[in-house]
Formats: sequence, structure tokens, C-alpha cells
Amino acid sequence: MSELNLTITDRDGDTRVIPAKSGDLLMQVLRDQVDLTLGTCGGAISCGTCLVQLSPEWFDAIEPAGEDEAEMLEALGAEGPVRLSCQLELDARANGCQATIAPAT
Amino acid sequence: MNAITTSHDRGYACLPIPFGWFAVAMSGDFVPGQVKTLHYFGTEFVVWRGEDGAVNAVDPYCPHLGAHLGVNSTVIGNDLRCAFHHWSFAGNGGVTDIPYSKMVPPKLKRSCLPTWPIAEADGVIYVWYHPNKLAPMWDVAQLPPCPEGDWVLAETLDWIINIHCQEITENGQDHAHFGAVHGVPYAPKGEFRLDGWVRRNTVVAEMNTPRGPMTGKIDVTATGPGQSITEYIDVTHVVQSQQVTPIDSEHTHLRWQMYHIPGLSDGRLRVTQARMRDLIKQVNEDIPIWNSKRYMPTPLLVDGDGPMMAYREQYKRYYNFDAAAENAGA
Repeated sequence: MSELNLTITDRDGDTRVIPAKSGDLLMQVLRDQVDLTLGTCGGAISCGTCLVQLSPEWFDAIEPAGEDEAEMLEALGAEGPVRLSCQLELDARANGCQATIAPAT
Repeated sequence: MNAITTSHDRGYACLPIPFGWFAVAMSGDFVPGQVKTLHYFGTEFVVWRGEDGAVNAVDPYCPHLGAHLGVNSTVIGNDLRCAFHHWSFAGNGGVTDIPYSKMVPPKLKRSCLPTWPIAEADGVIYVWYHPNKLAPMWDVAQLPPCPEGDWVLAETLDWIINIHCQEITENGQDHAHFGAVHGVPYAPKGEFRLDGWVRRNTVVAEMNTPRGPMTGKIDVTATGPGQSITEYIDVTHVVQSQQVTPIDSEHTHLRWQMYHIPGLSDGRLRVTQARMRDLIKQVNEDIPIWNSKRYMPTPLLVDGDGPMMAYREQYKRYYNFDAAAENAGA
């Protein structure tokens, strides 16, 4: 089982390294280990509470947002290297990368 | 309307419910702002009329947290507002408002709640039922043009009958019952045509009138399994618009609207009313038989019985739930 290490900055600005596995959903990992209030809709692309800002090397390495996610990001007014973490299935490209959980709105 | 009664299995429970347009209410049952849960096709759905006058039909449960949209919901403008958290839905199933959230997620705005195709024609509200939710394959049939002015609606009737809907419309092909059940003096001679989703019968029949038996022409146009429009043309001109709607495989809601031509003299009006009374008498003669008969998959037919098996052969297409519209050829 491939172990990944992610550097996560939470909504208080605290940063720590957390473990994850390939195949995990980033939203699930963050909800389990960092912030219980993430991912209200459970991955239906209807709440926007799991928004994260990815480090540029991570953002650039992965496939761009799909149509529904892109539409939701636009509706949220989210710009830059941001994604809904419920749409990000982790793999080796995430290892050693950093993400910041977006502030609650 | 008669109450639904349960019965032992008479062979209908295992028959599927056909797909098609089916009458589910009269237009007057829904004023703008009115919401109702309707029970047909062995399921239920919620219908409302918006302030714009349009009727809408949706699945009954709110996709948010599962409240029944037929219970305590409200029509706000053209939309239906769920009682549980005040989400509002447009007739296309999209969410239009979530009052406590910062926005309506774009995906939910587009579509969220499953809808039913719905249409309104000649004072009747129809929905398209298909168990696999395939899109409508034909249009709702409308009344034929009135030869002079506008049709006069004389009677609106309905019955709940304990039988599968296929059997009610089979009646018109059952030539021999007209004499036995209805006392029509001679067995009618019918021309029978199948054309895609339409079935036409032209029957020349001896009819009883207050002035004795006379020859009348009866033109039946059945569109899909749910609609039959019958024109009786003789000394008068009556249109009987009939809809059968499956409540489930064993119960059918039968509706009639009876029209006649306008401007009838007192004498012709009396004949017309007698004709309509006779038709109602006839259905009341059919109903006890329908309520109690069993389904005969291979009936024991003899010469003179009529084209019931050709009717059933055509009817089978309404059970072909995977077929695309291309299969509609005669």
C-alpha cells in the first residue's frame, strides 16, 4: 500500500504533515484527520465546503476540474490553483505536496 | 366513483403496466397554486399548477432530505417549495432557491428532482408514464375538429374498475358482446386498422333510438393505450373522449367526457341526450363483467368474436420497455 505524506494548512493557519493512501479522496482524508466540518454534501459538488488551494506543482500535475466542479468553482468565485477536494482521488503525484483548506464562508 | 376492493388474483397482477400518455386529473382539479399527490402506475407523483398556469409533475420525495413534496408544500410563483427546508423547485426539476444557503449549486439549478412529462388537452391533464423513464414517443391526441362551432361538453364521468386497463379497451374489438351485454340488435361490422401507435375502428352498428333501431357510424381512434376518442355520427353527432389510466395492474381509472355539436334543436338535443344515456347504460352493463372477469391469455375464440388477438398483438408494444421510438412501425 503506497503511503503518501501531505502537508496541510488548516483554517487556523496551522500546518502539519498527515498520512494518506493512494485511492483516498482528499476530502475524506481532511475530514477524518483535520476538520470535521468539511464536505457537507459528501461529494455531490453541491456545497463547496471542501475547497482547497493546492501547491502549484500539485495543481499542475493533476487533471483539470470536470464540468460540474468547474461550474461550482466559478459559482463560488474561487480563483487560482483551487479544487474541490471531494473530486481529488489521491495518487503518487500528491506525495509531498501542500494544500491549504479554504476559509469557511 | 366506486371504492377499490381487493380480490383474489384474476390474472391481472402479473400483467405489466403499459407505457404511454395517461389522464391523471381534470384541468379543473388544479387551480394555480394547488398541489396534489396522485396515485397511478403503482406509484405516486406530485402535481402542481404554477401562477403561470402551467402544470408540472415530479417524483414525490425531496432530493435534499426526503420530505414528501405532496405534504404541506407550497406553490411560490411557478415553483414548488418543500415544507421541510423551503427548497424551491421549478417545473423542470431544477432548484430555484435554498433560503439559508449562500447560493444554489449550479448542478442543482440545472436539474435535481426527477420530472414527469405532462400535457394538458381538452380539459384533461396527462402524464407520460414509462417504467424506464424513456421520453414520450407520440403526442397526446386531441378532439377532432367540430364540424360547426365548438363542441359542447355535456357530461364528465369517471369510474374506478377492478381490471387491467388492457381489457377495457379490448371491449371495442369484442364484437359479440355488443348483442349479449348491450342488446345491440345486430353484431356490428367493423373495419379495424393499426397505424403506428394509433388504432382505428370504424363500426357500422344498429343502434337503439327512441324512434327504433337505426344505422349509425362509430369511429374510434385510440392513441396509445390511454386514449380513445369515439365519434357517433347519425341523426346527431356525439364525441366520447375516453381515457383509461392504470392505478396498478389490477385497477383502472376510466374517464369519459361527452361532447355534442352546438346549436341542437330541442328534438335533436333529446336524441343526443338519449344517445349519451345509452352509452352510460352500456358502460354500466360492462362494469360488473370487468370487475369480476379473469384474464384469458389464450381465449377460446370463435367466428364472430372480432379482432381481439390482433388488438393484443399491437398492445404488446406498450410492454416493450427497452424499445426505442423507431419500433413504432405498424
